[in-house]
Amino acid sequence: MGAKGLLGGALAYSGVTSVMRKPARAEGVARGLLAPEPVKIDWKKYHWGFVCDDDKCIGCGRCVVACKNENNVPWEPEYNRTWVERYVIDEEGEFFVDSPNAGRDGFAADYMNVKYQALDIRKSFFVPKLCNQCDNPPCVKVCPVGATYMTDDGVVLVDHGHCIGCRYCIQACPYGARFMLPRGHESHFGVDRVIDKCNWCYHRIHRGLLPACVQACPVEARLFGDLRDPESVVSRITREKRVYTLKPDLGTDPKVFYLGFEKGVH
Amino acid sequence: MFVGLQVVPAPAALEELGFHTSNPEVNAEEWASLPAQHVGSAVCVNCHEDKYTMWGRSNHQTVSCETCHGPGAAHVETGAPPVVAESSRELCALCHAALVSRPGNFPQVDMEEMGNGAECIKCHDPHEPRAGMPTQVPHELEGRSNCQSCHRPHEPWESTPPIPPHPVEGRENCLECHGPDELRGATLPRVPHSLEGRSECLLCHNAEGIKPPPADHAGRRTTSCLNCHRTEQD
Repeated sequence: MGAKGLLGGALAYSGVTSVMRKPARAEGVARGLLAPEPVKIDWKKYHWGFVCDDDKCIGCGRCVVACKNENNVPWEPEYNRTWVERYVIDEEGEFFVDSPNAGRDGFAADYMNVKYQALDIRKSFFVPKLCNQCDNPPCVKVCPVGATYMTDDGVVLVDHGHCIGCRYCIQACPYGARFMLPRGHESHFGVDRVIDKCNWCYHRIHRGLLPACVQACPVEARLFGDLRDPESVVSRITREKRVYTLKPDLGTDPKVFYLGFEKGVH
Repeated sequence: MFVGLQVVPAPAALEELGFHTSNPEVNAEEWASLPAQHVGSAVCVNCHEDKYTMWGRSNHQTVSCETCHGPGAAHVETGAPPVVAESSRELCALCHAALVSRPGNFPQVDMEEMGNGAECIKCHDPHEPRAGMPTQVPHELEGRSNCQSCHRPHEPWESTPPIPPHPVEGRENCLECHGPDELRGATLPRVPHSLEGRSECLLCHNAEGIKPPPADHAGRRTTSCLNCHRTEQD
């Protein structure tokens, strides 16, 4: 899969694609999309990174929906691998932060905007959020059974077969990225009441695809790539532009880099 | 009975104490082997070439097919119908309803006023939303109120701005069609009747019918009438 798949993924991402004349199903199978298959990963080859652009996000929420569909995340708004927050700053400089249904239904409905009608709004913007796949992850540190770990390509995964559901990692994560699958909602590994979280669509990135939220975003507010590849969009942005991370004072070394800094975003 | 005191130095990670450490290599491969639900727009072209081509040239080319239509893996595999939104107003509003939190340069409309409550797709093909609409002025209007001072049909110019492809007589106010929403249609004849049941303007307003459109409207489609001609309720 390796470089060819990644190149294919990069081409598809840039909008330039070769029009393949095979029937769609064969192509789906050829891309490994339609049936699970054991995938040999060369995980030492990559070091993944993610960029969220607060200046571009329009709060449509399609990323949240795509993630739920891609990763079997419960549809209820309490369970999210990714979500979108809205920051509203009034003329006095006071912050209002909300995330109605975690952004799953967008922010356009009347009932979500009534409360801000009386405000004198100075500025307002959206901040997409997801697991930061920290390079110094507190969640990995506290797991008593070693069920969560970091891969060599920089993604923090949870082994559902070993997770005992103690939720210590949920407490340890300062970003609220982890959640417990509710009773009755089993993961792909056949267990419920274990911890789940965003894994940057690990099954997609190793097939040369983009995470579902990145593909779904209509305005390129979410970007993904290999930080080891100097030509990838995330490498170029982190090298050339001014990026910030969330809660840097906690020393978690997040790998989600934000553009469009505003003092007070947390 | 005695109490034994045991001091355990804290390890770097608690897993070093446990007996249940998972096997990362195996588990990571299991995660990587899950099937993908979204196939990507490049797969859709195999069956939907016409829509794909249209979409690929349009303003919506940065919006992947599955962003609106939902995950395509089941559709590709079994022919299960993909998601097509029930109400275009609700789906289009997710992105295009005017919200103060959205970037200023992103195309947004006041959903209450736009289109008289009609479905967005009545005028806008979602695969080519600007089809049939007059070209937008690609520059700011500040300091440029007299369009004809630059767009003069007969004077040569180094980097000539586009010459209007239609006669300019009787159309001195270019902004009536090409301007921002507030100015468009300001002095043009308004639609004096309700639009209910009358979505096909050209059914009645054709060369043989009621109030035929003037000759310079040749080649225009029904989808563009309402872009300039407001109703009396506006």
